[in-house]
Amino acid sequence: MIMIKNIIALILLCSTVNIYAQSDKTFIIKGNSINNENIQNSGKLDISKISVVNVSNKAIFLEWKTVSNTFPKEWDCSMCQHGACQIGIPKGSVFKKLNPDQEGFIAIHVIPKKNIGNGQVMFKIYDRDYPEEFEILTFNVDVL
Amino acid sequence: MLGMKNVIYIFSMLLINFTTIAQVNELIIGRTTGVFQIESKDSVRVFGFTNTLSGQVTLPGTTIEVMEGDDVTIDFWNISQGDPHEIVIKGIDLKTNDASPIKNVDNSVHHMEHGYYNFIAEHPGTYIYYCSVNYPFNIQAGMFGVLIIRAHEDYLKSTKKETDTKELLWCSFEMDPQWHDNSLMDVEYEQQPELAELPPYNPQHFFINGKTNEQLNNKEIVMNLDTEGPTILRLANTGFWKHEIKFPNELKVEVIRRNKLKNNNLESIRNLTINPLETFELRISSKKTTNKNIQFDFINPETNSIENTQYIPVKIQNNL
Repeated sequence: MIMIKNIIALILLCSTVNIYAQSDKTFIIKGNSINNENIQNSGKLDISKISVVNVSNKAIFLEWKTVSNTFPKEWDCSMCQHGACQIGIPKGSVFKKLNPDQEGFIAIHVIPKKNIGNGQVMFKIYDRDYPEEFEILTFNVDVL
Repeated sequence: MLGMKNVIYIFSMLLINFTTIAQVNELIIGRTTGVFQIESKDSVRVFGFTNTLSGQVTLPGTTIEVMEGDDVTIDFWNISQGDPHEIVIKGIDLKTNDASPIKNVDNSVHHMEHGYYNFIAEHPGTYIYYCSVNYPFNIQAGMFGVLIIRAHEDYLKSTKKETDTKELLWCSFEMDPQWHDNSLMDVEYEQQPELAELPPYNPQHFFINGKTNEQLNNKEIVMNLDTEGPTILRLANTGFWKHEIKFPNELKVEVIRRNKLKNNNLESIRNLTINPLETFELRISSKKTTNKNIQFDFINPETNSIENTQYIPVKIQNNL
């Protein structure tokens, strides 16, 4: 009977530790997670950037995935992440190592080529060691 | 009466200026994460210059075409991370625009920023533009392209379609894949790469317009000649080795320009050596058919030996 109680206690302890570890967020968004941008159709969006910060006490690697992209196909666009600038907006990639307290970012660039319209691109970002603890970064662009 | 004449004269001069000198803005985007196909299945990472955000890097980069006399501004947008980059045009002094946010004293542009370079297209010719930062690494990495300044007289003689069909550009270069390793290409911001630690330059791949010999064998580049008129061939060596071309006897080949210098004494040539960062403009014509190829040799300057040869078929159109 004592043996069973000990096993149950051990399972509960492990579960608690696991839950604690899972909720231990290693990064936060600095500022707003949604950027709303308005640009003229003859111009371009040089950069729209959302930053994140490593709030843990160890180096982390943040992965990201494009979860949706409704930018008109006539627009010419690309994105940068901490450590690399991509050609176009790919499906996903990983940040360069982010040390404690260090900032990283995801940014987009748009040349609408005189095409009026609007679109939204959303990125899911997470620590690769804790993929269930993610954030969504959203860029809304209106070309007038 | 004299005043009237002066007014007409000034008006005429202004009209000529407005009609012949154009303000041209060219967007060039600096990239460091391009993927370049070297053989049928293999690819390497490259740096490069493009004019779109979503377009893959090509080698050479975007070709800039302007008219003689144009007032040209290059809007260089450095969408990369790591070292700053710069645009240099061999044979042309670039001025930085007063409103330019270029912050570095050497005219390089920080990542994610714009820099504006300005020049008047005074001398018609074929020019190479490239990134001089970390020379020679960035140029080998792929940061090079060609600028064409067309002469008014050439432009007025032919339509755009004729110009396109009667002009060819061959940009030749070699590539050492060891220089394209991520360990060399991933440079941290404000951290200089160790140029002294670059492996010895040992090119394994040889290209004309980004095509290998294997691709050329599939006739991706053919010299189409028209018996009714000459073809202009622009040559640019953006590699570090000497490139030598041997033309078949059936072709009449004359040098029009070497770099930006016009050649007034046109004489026929059979062979031509193009040194690194050198350009030529040739006028090529033929009245006879030929089944011979143009031979393009890549020569190691240290040993003076031919390390690679490519063959370009010649096709005579409207022929006899």
